[in-house]
Amino acid sequence: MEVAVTKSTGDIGQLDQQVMLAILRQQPLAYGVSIQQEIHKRTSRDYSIGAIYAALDRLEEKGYVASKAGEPTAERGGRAKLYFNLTAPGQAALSQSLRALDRLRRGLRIAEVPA
Amino acid sequence: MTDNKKRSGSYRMAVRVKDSGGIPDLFVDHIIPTHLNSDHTRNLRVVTAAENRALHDVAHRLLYEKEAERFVLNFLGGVGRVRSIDPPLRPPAFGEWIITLLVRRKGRAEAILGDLEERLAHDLLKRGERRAHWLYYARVLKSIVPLLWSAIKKLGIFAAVADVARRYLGG
Repeated sequence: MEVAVTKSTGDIGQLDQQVMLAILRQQPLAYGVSIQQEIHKRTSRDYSIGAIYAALDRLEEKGYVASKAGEPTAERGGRAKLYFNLTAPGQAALSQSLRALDRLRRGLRIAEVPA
Repeated sequence: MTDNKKRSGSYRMAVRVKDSGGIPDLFVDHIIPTHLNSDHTRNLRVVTAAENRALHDVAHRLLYEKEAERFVLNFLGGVGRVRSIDPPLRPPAFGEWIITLLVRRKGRAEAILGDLEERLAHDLLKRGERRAHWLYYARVLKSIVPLLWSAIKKLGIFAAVADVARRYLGG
């Protein structure tokens, strides 16, 4: 019998999970466009930049990600990039959330959908 | 149309000369810094005239024009005219205004606008100006709902609408 989840995962939705995983793949150079493109590359989901930043805002408020301004570049019209990193509580929450999914999925047989 | 290459100072230029029967027009295709050693060449970036325009890089544009003028003097005996590079393309102001209206945190709004402008610069190269601007607007429109929803969840619907209205009125 599986052990029940003992701690809240802090309401990490699917988009939040994807954003956090994309940050983990790209940190310390994860920023809006790179996060958006990483998610698109690996999941084919095309989230708007607004949706990505809304998720980043949520995660930052919970203390799961931290942001840091980079140098302004000409390519961005003199605007600085905002780099995001996953904090330790963020990594713990992500890990817990993914483990919860794994527990839910364990032992199930899901039919493969032909591509 | 002839192709010419010239080493000049620390830059190598590729210049197309289009002879239209009178004074030749020069088009600077790309400019490559050559002062970097071989260790750096893998990081070399070819900047095309179109990209340069998209980069809004005034210093680079001036360098283009100066180098092209020198090319006219040295290779064409002073006969020729440098085709001036267009002023930098700005992202659609209305799109920028919408984002500024919806995002409360100033640093965050700047980051979003910077990201949108970065995509715009790439689209300008790949898809041309008109399509790039349409794509910019499409991205802004697609962002409105999540950004507005985020503000509503944070402030509540009345406070969020009041906040947007206040910024709309310039308060």
